[in-house]
Amino acid sequence: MTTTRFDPSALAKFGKLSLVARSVVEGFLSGIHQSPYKGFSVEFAEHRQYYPGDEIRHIDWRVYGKTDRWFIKEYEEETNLHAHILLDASGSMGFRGAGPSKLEYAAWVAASLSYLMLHQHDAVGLLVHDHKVRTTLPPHAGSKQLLRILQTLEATQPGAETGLAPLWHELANRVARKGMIVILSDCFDKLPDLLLALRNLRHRRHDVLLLHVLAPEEIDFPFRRMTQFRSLEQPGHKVLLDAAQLRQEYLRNFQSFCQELRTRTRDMQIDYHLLRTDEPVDRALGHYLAKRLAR
Amino acid sequence: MNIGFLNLALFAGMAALAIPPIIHFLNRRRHDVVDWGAMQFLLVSPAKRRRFMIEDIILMALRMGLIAILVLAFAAPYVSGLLVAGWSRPPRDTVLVLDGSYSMEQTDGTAPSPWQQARAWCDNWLKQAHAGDRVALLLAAKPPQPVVGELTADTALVREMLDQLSRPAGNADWPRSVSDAWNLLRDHGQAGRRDIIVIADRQKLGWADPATVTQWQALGRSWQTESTALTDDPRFAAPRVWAVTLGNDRAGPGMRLGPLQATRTLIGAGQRLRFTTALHWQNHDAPQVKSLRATVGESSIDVALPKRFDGKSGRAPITFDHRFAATGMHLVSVALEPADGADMLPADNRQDLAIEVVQELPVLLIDGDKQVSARSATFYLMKAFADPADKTKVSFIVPRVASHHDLDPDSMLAKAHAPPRVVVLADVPRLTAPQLAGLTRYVEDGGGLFIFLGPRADPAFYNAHLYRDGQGLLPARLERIEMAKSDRAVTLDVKRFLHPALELFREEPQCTLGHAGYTRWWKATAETHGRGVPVALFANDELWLIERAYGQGRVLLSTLPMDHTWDGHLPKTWEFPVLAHEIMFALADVRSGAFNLVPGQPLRIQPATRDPWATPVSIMLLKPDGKAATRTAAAWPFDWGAPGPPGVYQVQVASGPRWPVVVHADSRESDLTPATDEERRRVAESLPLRYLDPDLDQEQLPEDAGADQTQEVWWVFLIGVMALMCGELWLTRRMALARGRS
Repeated sequence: MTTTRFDPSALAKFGKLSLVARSVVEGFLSGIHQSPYKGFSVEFAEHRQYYPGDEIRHIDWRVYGKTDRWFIKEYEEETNLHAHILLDASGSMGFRGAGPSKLEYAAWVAASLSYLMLHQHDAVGLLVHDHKVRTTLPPHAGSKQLLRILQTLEATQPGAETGLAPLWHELANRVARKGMIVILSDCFDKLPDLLLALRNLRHRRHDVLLLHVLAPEEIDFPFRRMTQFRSLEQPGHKVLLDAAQLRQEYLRNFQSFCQELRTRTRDMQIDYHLLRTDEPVDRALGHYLAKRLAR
Repeated sequence: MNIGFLNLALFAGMAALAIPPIIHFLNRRRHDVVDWGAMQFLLVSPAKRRRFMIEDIILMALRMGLIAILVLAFAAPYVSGLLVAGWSRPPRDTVLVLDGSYSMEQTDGTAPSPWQQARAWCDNWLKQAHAGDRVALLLAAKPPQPVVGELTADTALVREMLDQLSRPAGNADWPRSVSDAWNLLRDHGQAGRRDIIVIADRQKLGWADPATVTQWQALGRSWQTESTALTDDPRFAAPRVWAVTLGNDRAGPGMRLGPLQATRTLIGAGQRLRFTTALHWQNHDAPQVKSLRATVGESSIDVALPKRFDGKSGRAPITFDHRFAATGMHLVSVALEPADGADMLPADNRQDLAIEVVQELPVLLIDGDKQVSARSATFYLMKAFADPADKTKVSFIVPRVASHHDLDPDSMLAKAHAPPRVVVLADVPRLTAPQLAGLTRYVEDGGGLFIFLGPRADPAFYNAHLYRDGQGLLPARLERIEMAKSDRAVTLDVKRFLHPALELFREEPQCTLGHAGYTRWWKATAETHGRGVPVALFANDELWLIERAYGQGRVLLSTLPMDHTWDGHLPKTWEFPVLAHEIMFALADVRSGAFNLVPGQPLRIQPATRDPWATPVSIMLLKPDGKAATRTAAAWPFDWGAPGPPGVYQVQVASGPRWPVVVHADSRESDLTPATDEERRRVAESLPLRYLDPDLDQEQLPEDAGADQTQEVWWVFLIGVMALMCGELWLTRRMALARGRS
């Protein structure tokens, strides 16, 4: 969980996460949404040297007249889509099965979505929390925002106990402008409170996207022997159980929880999608985006 | 029932009981560790948690139980004691031998008789027989009677036959009965285990008296020899014999009648006959009798009761006379009715005797002279008997005289021509071969032969053809003619007249037969292998009358002539006619043996009429219990075989008149003296034999009382192991399925 995710020499600019995000988003540039305000407001940002392949219409002919060199005018585009990515960094997200931990997986997904949305010139913000807010990046468009998001994700470690519902309530109250709320979480909290918070978000007219990140071990419960389960959220809390004996009961509880979460979120017109950490991110996200585009 | 283990050391294996708990705790200690986020889904309801715990406990208990039972099985467990006998034993063949003697009916009026107890015991034993067991039932009698003579698995049939058994009668021939039982098992037994169970009373007689013990020992030696010589043949392995003795172990008060006797059982019509019997009592201070009755057929005879009963035990003679008017067979009976409680054994309070009454007794006299005259040897005998020409001379004996030259067996002795009851050879020098053969057949078929010797007798012929070294008709070997010393005549010793027919002379004080002297006589030797029995002696200890049984008949030899030869005075005595009659009746009485039988003696039916029934003809035998048996006679005489236990039988040929046949019991059976422990032990050692406690639960019989009462039961524990293993597998699979179902 604490291993370095970046190779500074190889990933000089965005690190590994950037590469993952880039590779995931290739082919999905049409985005997860279509902005109704496209080209409404463009603000000049800087000049840069012309490279073959740049569109000629972006050459600043005035500067060419003065300097006899070709420069391209770059603009910082404004958009009215504000996306908030809520990353659950509670202790339970630190569970690592055979693949990456849920938090790592969620970070990859968050990076990918940020890349994608920023590429579409949407404003993307990030909120990392466990039972309290640990990091907040307000939504902003622009290439530097991606760097900030990626740096934040890189620095995120699993935290303490989950307290999702109060935080989501607080966010719902704080975000005045309607936008998109992307939640990356295992949702291991009291389901009624969780649903109430989600309902509040929907009430604020936010477009809520719930990406339910789960490890395959949590879904299939493959344990067969006497196993001591140590809580990732409450240090010292451990339970010794005959996993084989418990399995049926566990699966019943777990599937019931997931089923109810799925059903209730659908009822609230929340876009729910289950992400398994043993599934490649591109495929998982690709399936989701394809499904979303088809609507 | 006791339970034990042959290999206690293996109990150390019980330490393995700790293996399941140890594995359980090790599993708990050697668990996997998982850092887990979804803790909220691990919570299960208390009911579920309790169910899991109970399943774990049951599973562990099953595993521990499995180990425990496996250890117990290896420790070679066995059970011993009472309940083992009925367990899982292989089928066995058993012969039940039930005491059929009348002493089994002894009772004090309160407790059931040994007979009732024995039948109940057998019935109970048969009820508990296992499937595959085969049983036969013999009645120990004289001779033994097969009730169910073949081994059968149909115990219901055996019980039914047991239920239909008649009252016991007569005596028990125990050694022969047990020997018969073993022969049956040896020849027809199939099971590996073969037992003989005898059920008897505690009477010493017939079981542990010296004569019987000797027979037991002989039987035991015979078995031992058989089993030793034929070790490889399991059929000859020594049998297991078990004895159940029932009834009292001490004799109670008893009364009985002694055998009914008469001077003879053949008599002329109108003659008076004297009967004697005796009333015996034992263990009585003052025996009381309700009544004593004698009957001849349907008629009663007055019998005087003894006036005094002296002593605690004793004997009082009873005598009565009767004159028989009608010819034919008559049954004379005496019955005693003791006072209530005065007799433990009512079966011996009746005695019977069959009497034959004839109008005439034909006798054939064969004279040694060529021409019969006043000097012939038969002259005085003829004078002693009836003279057909002289109606004033009354005698039932009708003589016929012939010279030995005229003896034609085919016409004179053949059955078809109403043969004489007695043939007399009067100083016959020799016989031709056909004459000798005919005479031999005649005696074999039940005729009486009286031989008296004289100077003409040829000793070489007599010894070679009549004596035949003890195998012929003659009761003794002839040596020579002896002469009295100094011309002193030798006389008869009346006191040593041992023959029953001569008893009246012995008791007669005025008898002059002892004065009859002879100067010569034939010296004869009755060799032990010759079967001749001296029945009258001279005063000088020489033999006068020697008797022997031959076939169904009897031969009496006189070493003196019956005339004046050798200066004999016998014919001159006044008793001579009586003597001649008694001898003739005694020899003719041989046929009464066909009416008064001893137990086991075959019944020989020979029509006495001049016109016997044409064969084949049906013969009915009415038994004492009222049951009738019928057979067909193809020729005369007809041998029925032993009719059965003692009692009065009735014989009827075709639709002719019935006549009684009495099978006499051995009156010693009335001696109820119980065998002592020492005597019983001696019997047990002779065979060997084991006594069983009759009160034992019969399910345990006979293994429980035997040497092999212990049964290894490791297989039962192995079955338990398999059952627990199946249970463990079932529970494990059930739990696995429950866990895997998702």
